[in-house]
Amino acid sequence: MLKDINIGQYIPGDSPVHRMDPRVKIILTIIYVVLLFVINNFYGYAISSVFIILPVVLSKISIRYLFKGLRPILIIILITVLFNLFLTEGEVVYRIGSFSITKEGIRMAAFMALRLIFLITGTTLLTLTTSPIDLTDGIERLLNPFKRIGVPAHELAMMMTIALRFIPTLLEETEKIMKAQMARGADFESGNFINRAKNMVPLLVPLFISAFRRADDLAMAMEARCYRGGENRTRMKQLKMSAVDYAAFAFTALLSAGVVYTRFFFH
Amino acid sequence: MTKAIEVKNLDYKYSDGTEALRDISFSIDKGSKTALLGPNGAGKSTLIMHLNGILLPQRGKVIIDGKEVNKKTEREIKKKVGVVFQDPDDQVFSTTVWEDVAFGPVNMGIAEEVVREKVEKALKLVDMWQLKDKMPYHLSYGQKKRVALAGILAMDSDIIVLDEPGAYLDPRGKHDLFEILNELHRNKKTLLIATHDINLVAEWADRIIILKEGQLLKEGDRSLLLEEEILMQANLTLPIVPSIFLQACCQRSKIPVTVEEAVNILKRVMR
Repeated sequence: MLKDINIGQYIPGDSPVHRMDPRVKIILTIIYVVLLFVINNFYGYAISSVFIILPVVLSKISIRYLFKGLRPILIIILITVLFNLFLTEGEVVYRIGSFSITKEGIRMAAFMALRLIFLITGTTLLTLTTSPIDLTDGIERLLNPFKRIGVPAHELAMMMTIALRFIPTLLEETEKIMKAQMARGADFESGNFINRAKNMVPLLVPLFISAFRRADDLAMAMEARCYRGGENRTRMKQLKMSAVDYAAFAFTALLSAGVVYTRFFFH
Repeated sequence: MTKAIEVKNLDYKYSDGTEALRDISFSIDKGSKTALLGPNGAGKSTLIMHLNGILLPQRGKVIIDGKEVNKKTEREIKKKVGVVFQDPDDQVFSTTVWEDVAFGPVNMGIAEEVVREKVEKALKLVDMWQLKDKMPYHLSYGQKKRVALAGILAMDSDIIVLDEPGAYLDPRGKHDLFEILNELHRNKKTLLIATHDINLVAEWADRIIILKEGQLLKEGDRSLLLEEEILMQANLTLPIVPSIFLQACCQRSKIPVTVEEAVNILKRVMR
């Protein structure tokens, strides 16, 4: 039942994109997202499509997974397109009743759709090619400089790692408790909203208690192995930038320059 | 006489493709004490879920007291078969022991007066009546286990199934639990326990079912506990009593299984 839920949706692989330093991937994704909002003409989109197609091809990830990531936001794209199409003022091209489609509207709608599709594809590619552990590791390292102003980088990363680790365990636990209560005639499926919420009590109480107990046990086990937060901890896997990472940076710099150029000189 | 439990050609496959049960058939007489043996992952738990309709058969049939388990009879079957899960913490949730035991009968829609009666009877049977107003989370593991059992007994099922009843209990707790099970046996309940504690099985069960990798390896009476080869196949060992006697002597037909039988033989020899 619950086991079918796929979290993190990381797809293991050994492509250059998979091997990239997670820090670099996170930074480049952020740059890419910012670029998408800088673009204001089709040349810019043409350039940024190269930016997205190249890593997709290199990562050897099936297009199917990318479409899967797009499916949930399809409806949002559709609504955005419709709003832009009908509500933008300008030169009228076509009229349906009191609604009119304008030239500017078509342009805006196309821009917004492309922007959203590229945005989702880019961020999906990041999570598809980076394991959750690498991702949190990367985030921790990127947040490190902000420690001085009180950002608890290591603690945040450790919390994320532990949370990710325990999601499947908690799902399993939920299923077990549900079965134990169903054996006593508990009903989780029928009834109106309030009744259903009430019926969740026999599930939630044992679930929370076991989660707290697990947290307690885990904390104790970690302390027993001398865990004292991030101070003085060495790392198993040192993040290291490789040739691919530098190439990716150079490539991004080139494309960004191109995009900025189209924004200011082709209008 | 109708059987308490009849399973015919039962198959079950999980959604990820794991074949948990393959072509399982057996039956259990009313009032019997059956042990379901098998290594971890043999399908014991999956089989138990089928006995009270938490899982419905994908192929084959499960018949409880003459009634086939299906979508329609599911609720009725849950009243007939009580399942006690391994970890009482999965089950116990209320603020008092009393309330928790009442959860099942209340779900069954029984009148309040009757619920009170049933809860009292169940709690007294497991010797927890004097702790009825305690918070379950302040109880010891063995006590919680007994509360969980009382929660099932209060539903007045004729058939009671226990998944790993002895797990994590201290020897005294185990002893007390099996006293309760014997009391239930005297009350004509049909009992089925899933376990790998072979020594408990030797002392207690009158019928043995051994599962391995989702299939029925062997079914039989207690003489099955002397068949080392079959037990080995299911990652089990001989129980301690027959293991001693098989090494020390004697004719197969005279090998004792329980401590009591062994004591009788030893008395005769040593006299």
